[in-house]
Amino acid sequence: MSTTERRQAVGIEGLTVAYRRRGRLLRVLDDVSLSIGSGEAYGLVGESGCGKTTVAMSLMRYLPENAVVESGRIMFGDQDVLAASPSTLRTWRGDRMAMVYQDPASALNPSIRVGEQIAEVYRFHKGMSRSEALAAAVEMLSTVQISAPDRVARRYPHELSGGQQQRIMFAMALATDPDLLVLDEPTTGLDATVEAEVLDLVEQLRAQFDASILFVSHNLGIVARMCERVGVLYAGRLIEEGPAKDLFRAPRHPYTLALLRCMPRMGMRKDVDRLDPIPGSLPPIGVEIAGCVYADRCPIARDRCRAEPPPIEPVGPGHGSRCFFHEEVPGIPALARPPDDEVPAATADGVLLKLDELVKAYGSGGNQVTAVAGVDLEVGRGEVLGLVGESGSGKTSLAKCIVGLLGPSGGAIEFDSADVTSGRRGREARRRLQMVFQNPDNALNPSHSVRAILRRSLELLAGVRGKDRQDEQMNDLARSVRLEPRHLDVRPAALSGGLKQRVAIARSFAGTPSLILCDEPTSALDVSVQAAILNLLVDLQRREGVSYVFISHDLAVVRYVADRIAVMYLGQLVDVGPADAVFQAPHHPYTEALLSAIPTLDPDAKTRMKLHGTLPSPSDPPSGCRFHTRCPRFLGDVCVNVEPPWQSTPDGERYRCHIEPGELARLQADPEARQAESS
Amino acid sequence: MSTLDEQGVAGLPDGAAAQVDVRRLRRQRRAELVSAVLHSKTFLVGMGILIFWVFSALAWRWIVRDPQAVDPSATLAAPSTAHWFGTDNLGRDVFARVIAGSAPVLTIAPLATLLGITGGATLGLVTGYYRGWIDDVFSRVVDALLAFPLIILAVLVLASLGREPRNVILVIGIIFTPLIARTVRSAVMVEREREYVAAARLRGERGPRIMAVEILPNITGPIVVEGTIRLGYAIFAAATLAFLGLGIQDPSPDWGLAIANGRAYLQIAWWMVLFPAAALATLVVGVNLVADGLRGAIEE
Repeated sequence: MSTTERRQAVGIEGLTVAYRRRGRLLRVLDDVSLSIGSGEAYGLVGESGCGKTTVAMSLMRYLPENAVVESGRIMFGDQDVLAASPSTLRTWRGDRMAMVYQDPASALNPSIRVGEQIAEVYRFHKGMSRSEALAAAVEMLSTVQISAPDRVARRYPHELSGGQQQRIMFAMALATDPDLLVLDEPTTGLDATVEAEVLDLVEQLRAQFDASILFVSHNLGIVARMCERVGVLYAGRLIEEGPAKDLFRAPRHPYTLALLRCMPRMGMRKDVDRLDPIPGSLPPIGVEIAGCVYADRCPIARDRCRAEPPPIEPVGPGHGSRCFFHEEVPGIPALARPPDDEVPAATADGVLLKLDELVKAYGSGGNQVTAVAGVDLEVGRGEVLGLVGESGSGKTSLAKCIVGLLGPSGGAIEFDSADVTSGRRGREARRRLQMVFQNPDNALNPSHSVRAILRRSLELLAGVRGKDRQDEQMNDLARSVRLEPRHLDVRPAALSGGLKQRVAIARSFAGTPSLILCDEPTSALDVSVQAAILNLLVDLQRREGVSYVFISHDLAVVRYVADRIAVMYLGQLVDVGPADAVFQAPHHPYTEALLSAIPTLDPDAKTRMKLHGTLPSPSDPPSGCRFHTRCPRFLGDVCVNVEPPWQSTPDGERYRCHIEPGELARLQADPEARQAESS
Repeated sequence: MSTLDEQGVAGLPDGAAAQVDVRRLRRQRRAELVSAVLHSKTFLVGMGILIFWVFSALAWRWIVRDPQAVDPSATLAAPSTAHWFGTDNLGRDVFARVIAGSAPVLTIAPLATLLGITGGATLGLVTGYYRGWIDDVFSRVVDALLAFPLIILAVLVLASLGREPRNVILVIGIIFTPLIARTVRSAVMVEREREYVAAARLRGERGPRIMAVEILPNITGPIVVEGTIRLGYAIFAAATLAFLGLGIQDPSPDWGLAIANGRAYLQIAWWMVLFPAAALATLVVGVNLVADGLRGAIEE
């Protein structure tokens, strides 16, 4: 549907916003114009720091105090939001415009029952009495598909799961049937299966409500699925805009193209494909740029790009690109070379790590929570094992037991035929078993220089003594992760996220390890940086022949790097096998659900398999098969009462389910059967 | 804050922003903190007061007449041009004594605070890092200690050990130790969960080194703020003990002592109490303003 058919609901015209910091004005949005038709969903994408949240906040006029709107108008209907009086704004917000935030847990008041919180909207904006408002709130809860809305209305936010909390936020936002709904990364903190549920809900709500939607997200897949039109922000400028299908199929700005190319897509493999990172980084906030903001990173930039800012050039119906040379964009070659096969990929020969019935329980007596409930697992030499599961599945506890940060409560860990079960380990075991953490901001001591951090690791892990020898090895180490000498003498705060993660990787490689645990090593990074870090990890793995246990919630990333994949649910392994086998039917119903939850860039997505209910508490796991409370292929009493056996498929995969491989393959291959089973 | 950027990994030249000089960045960060402090009016006013008193404590010998000089002909004289703040019962100049009285308090209070900070930081690091039974024992002891009125504790100790300034420092410092330790402990408990501590353990660092080298540098902010707040309390505590006759003895011009002496003459010579009390108040307020300003700048 093109916008010309629609009435404009929101029009942002030449919006320029700056933040005042220590007396300086730092410009974060520069001449941003876009319009959203009534009932249209407009997706705003970009990496962190590009200004997308500032756009959302400007729409609601929720800007922080130090923000200065330098110029521009925001037309809401026929009135300017930026010129509206505080009392007008108060009635608009909540009534005609509403917002759903990234973190529902902090957006809800923890001391008020959720029903009351929704009812408040009705009382304030609709002047309803207390009991009317409560009744309306309960009705709204059933609209956002909360089962047993009466009961849920009497709960406090902390008694609800993340997905339910986000539904409450939607209920509050939609209570007054607003004209505009601003969604600021509404699913970012949620697990994949919950995210899929929330997105389904948004789609269904769009059929019932006629609100225009501004959908702010860093996730291109989600935006491709949810929105009709998309705008791409880069360094505070809207650099490309167009219908979602055209924009993702045929991007006409070099940045959009690069963003699409650097994402690992489902089915990409490290030994065949190489990710294409975007060189350079965002210009620092507040720096005046004469020409195109992307020129420094652009492969087709010329002198003209650096001299004058390009205007939005029309490239198709409703599709515009801020690039002088947009016609050349489709012809930009991929930068990445296929992996050179001179170094043969390390093959798995022999077992390096062996977990035997590993158990990790926290607390004692009645409060005991078993995070890891008897895991048998092997990791081969030179092998990458992907570990997948939702939050609460116990994968981080398992990782901490393996590296020795936690002592297991039961079972055994064998590393290179030596028992390392206890948390206390000798230098040799520490040297050979290292970890890369999720958040590089947290994992590097902010008070130490990069040089000090690496030197200490060389000293303790590699046993390198003497300053000269340390410096020599440090340069080699830095070079191997592509850090430059100038990066060594600063503290981590002066480095970007990607560089910090390189330092953390260098540190873990200091003692030439045999196994590295990568705990979500790229989830705190932007996609363009993620590509570079994944390439680096793959290169190092090939060259050094190390094994990885690679934890990630992003299945496309796991698929890209892993040779084998293990899926965890509530502390147990439910599915293990070669990566290809695990991602193809037959596989455990939980794996199936995880896979179908992935938002893809393919706009013609198929029907999705849904999981019922929420993750049960690990302190009181369900009987029989732990997955039976949510399983879309639930058989009946046998699942409730009998622990499922391990089943083996011909392609070397093992999964824990009562359904035999042949039968499961038939069910999972047949979309009709899936529909019937899941409804 | 600007950051160094991802370099040209795939072989493209670095962006222009990559040429940012590293040293300049570092200097800029330090300058930002200093400028935040210097832009805080609270801090500047407090610092002005504090500098005045520190200067008085160091240089009173050369700026005022002898605070011990007795003038029997001018006892209990009201403020005048000859004696700006009047004279006391022995005919000593109150102005000179107020200025000189900053010396004992500014010796005892900072030393006591330093002692409390040292002990408190050590105890806080150990209990916050190791947790477990060490922490349990410590917490119960602190609870028990705080159940006592601290002033009675101080009176008891000073009465039995003797009233020398050294003991006053010890008593205040030791009473401060668990109080400071609690603040430090909570800061340590936040830091120990951060992954750089896990990384240090993974490379085989031992507890004491993790506490001193990894954690301590990251909690200096709260320690400095706590120290300045405690300095204000220490000044007050020193004056209180002197007032009770447990600290510094006559003929020192100490403010607490002066207030105690002047109390008997309050009806006929208010200046003997008002000026030392006002001096004490300005110093405490000044220190607290500095603490507020510092906290604002560090937490920003």
